[in-house]
Amino acid sequence: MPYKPELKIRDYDYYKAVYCGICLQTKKIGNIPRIFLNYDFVFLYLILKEHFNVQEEFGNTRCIAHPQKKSVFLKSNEMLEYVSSQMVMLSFLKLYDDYIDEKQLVSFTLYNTLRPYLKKVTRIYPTSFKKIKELFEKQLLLEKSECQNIDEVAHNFGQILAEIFAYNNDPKLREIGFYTGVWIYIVDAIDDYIDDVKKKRYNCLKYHLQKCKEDNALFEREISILKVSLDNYLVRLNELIKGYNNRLLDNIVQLGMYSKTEEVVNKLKANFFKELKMS
Amino acid sequence: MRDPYEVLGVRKGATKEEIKKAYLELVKKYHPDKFKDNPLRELAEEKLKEINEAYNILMNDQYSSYEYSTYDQNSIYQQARDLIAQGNLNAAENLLNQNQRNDAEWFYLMGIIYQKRGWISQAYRYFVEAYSRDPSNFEYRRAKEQFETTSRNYEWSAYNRGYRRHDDCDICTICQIIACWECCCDNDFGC
Repeated sequence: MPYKPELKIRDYDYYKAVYCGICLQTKKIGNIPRIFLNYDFVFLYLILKEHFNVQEEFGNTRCIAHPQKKSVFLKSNEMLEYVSSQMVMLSFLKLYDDYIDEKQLVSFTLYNTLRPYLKKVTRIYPTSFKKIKELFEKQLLLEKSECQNIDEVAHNFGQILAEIFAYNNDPKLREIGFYTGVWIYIVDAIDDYIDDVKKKRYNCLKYHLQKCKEDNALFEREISILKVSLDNYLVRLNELIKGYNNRLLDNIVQLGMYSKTEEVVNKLKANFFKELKMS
Repeated sequence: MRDPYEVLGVRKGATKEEIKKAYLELVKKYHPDKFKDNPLRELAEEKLKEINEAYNILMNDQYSSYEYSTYDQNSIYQQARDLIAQGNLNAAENLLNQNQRNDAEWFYLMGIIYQKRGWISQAYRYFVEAYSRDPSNFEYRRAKEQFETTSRNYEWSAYNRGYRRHDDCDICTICQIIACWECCCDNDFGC
């Protein structure tokens, strides 16, 4: 998620150390959940760390993915523990979601293998798990009913992330999670749009974009509406994060997320008429 | 002031006969003589005043159906604005949805409701619609441009901090590719 050309080497090393830290932390829950490791949770850790001013310690280790060299990792702390358990919980629910949605065997088997690990996590955070599960079900319902309101679906997803970010029910963390979630949802919707249309899957942009299949001017207008709204969501996120004064977080929000937005919008612009004319 | 038809309790566009009949009945009902030693007397007097006013408005030939329609419309928008100011967004939205119209003010007020709720993309969409229907209105333009300025400032700060477009120059593109490639190979689960 950070924008690499503007990243300092030491920030990058730190970023990787956190990533390794989450991986090693997850190992304590089990080895299988480690496959769900992804960079988004580094962002969550960074925010929690800044918010609660966590003291960090680092260590050296060899890891299975890179046995030839020793890599620096972040030693376990309270926040890291929280992040890794949330990661397991979220990936579990995502699989459950996929399973119900597409009835794929792959997600079903994964879902079952992950089940015993989930119990370890939900025992520690039962209320938040219940809440997130409810929100996931609502999300499924909204998508099934072909909800045409971009904000409505995206906000529901934002609430899921708000719940995950809100360590100790902190309102500021909740808000950060919310805007992150909304942004992720809309950007993913733009990114997957062409694929979704081809495979006749739900996409929240369909209602607005379908009617401009033949009309270039209308399409440009819709895209600019999307772009302006995404920027506005990001500005709110940026306002919340500025106070932490963390170079890495600033890079992620001001450059990383910005360039990602630009990238997916340009991709859609380039492919919209080309790809959809055939279908 | 309230809708005169509503005050007299007659349907919109009622004939003069009907209005007169309703008026006489109401006057009988609220006549101050009936409330001589009653604490409701003041209230009745006020009510009667309102009834008289409404009757005069409706009996006046100048109060044509055209004037009535704009009066009605503006009062709905005024009500919606009041509800928004009170923070009663659901009621305001219901009111507007029950009176769907295709004019700029309608879209603008819907935009305000969504903006207050934080539904940014929906709000911006409504403001764009309002502006396209009446570009001369300062209020609509400001609402729409507020979003665009925020977006532009954000873009500008990204450029200032070093973000460059992919199609800026060839060397940049090459650098990007190298950076991306390096990124893939550098992370723990890449190649």
